[in-house]
Amino acid sequence: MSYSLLSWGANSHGQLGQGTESEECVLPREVDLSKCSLEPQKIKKIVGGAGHTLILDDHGRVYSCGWNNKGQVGFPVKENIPFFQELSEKLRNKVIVDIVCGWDCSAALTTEGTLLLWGSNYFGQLGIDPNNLQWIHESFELVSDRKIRGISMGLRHTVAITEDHAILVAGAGTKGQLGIDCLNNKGSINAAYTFKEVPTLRNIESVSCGQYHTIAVAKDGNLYAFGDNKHGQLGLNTDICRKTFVPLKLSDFQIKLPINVHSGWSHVIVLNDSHIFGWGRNTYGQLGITKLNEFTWKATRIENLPRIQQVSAGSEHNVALTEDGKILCWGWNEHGNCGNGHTKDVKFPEQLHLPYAYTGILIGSGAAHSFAVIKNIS
Amino acid sequence: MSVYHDEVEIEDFEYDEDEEVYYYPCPCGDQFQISKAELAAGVEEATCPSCSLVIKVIYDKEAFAAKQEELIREEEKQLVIQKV
Repeated sequence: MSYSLLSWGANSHGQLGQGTESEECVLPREVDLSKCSLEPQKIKKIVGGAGHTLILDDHGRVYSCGWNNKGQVGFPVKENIPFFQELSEKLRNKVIVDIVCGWDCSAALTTEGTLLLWGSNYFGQLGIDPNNLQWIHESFELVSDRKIRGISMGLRHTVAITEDHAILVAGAGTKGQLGIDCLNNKGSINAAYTFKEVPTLRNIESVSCGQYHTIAVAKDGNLYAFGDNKHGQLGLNTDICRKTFVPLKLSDFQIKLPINVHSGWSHVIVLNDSHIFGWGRNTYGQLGITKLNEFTWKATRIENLPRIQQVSAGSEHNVALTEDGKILCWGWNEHGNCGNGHTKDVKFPEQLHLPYAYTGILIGSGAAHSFAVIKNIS
Repeated sequence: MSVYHDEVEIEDFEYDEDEEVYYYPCPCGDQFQISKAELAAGVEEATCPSCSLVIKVIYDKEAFAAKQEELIREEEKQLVIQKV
């Protein structure tokens, strides 16, 4: 049985791992993994930032490629890294269980419950005062008396979930995305330069950070939202709330666990019971609902979709895997983000053409780039 | 008139002092950019070198231009002092 890793979309910094840099790649192309030990059938997770990508495998090893101007790929060079390279040594050979990317920063969660951070810290998103550290290629461990069990990164902020289901936040908080008001004494910058706990949130199971917003899922299935609501991305009425520094409960949206929440820049995609719901911005078709206008704050289901097993949100596009192994893409498509051979936006989930006798196994995305692991079934 | 991808306040840009350019992330993964000189001249559209999206920069044009002029005068004054 043979497996392959495919990538498509924006590639200006080598984030597709194809060994080249180009404006874009509008059709899926196989990733050359000959320069590293990564086996496509062992891939557990693929995530990307603006111009870089991280891959986690079943052994807990991490591989990375792309834009490294702020050390986000994790190597001590200024140049882009166009092929995937193993990063494990740089992560102190720890066994990694989860990976995330911010815009130009990265984080990895270890099996011991510690958090490793690297990349840009311009906004304090790594939990350090940016006056002391602007960026770092070498990962360092977050010092905390509590173990970490979950992590998400937005454009300029980071949210970690502790073992006792509280949440810790760091980075830019200008639009309320930290869930706490961190206006300093000088009154000029709203940011947290060390990880701070959001006192009003308890029993949090997962979090998802967007450009300037955060969605937290509680154990009882309630969703809490905070940050910018310009496009309805909080799921709250835009006429009443333009932004909030305090987490607010989404009373209109209650569904049974498990809930998988994924944030783009200003849209939210939720996978629940094999169905997809979305809210927020729809200018480029991000919500996959043709009849919608520019945005909606009301959770809206994409009708007539096959059952979905996995979904991933880029900045303005999405990739999904159906239960029967088909891959769907929709949203912004200027760089071939949707992999359908052209660059016109895709307003309703469209099936990605796979090579004959191949089925999709796993999908992932970065800002404007996409990935899929496929398997030959003949 | 173009449709702006977003309207962004100048405070939300990252400033590169060496290049004298303001940068803001573009969803394509690259960066919108606008130079200090362009801002001083009253330009309000920041473009991305990799894609077609355009953002409107929200800033106080008159105050920005005035501040630049003042800085230039200050620099000239310093140069005069150095020469003396």
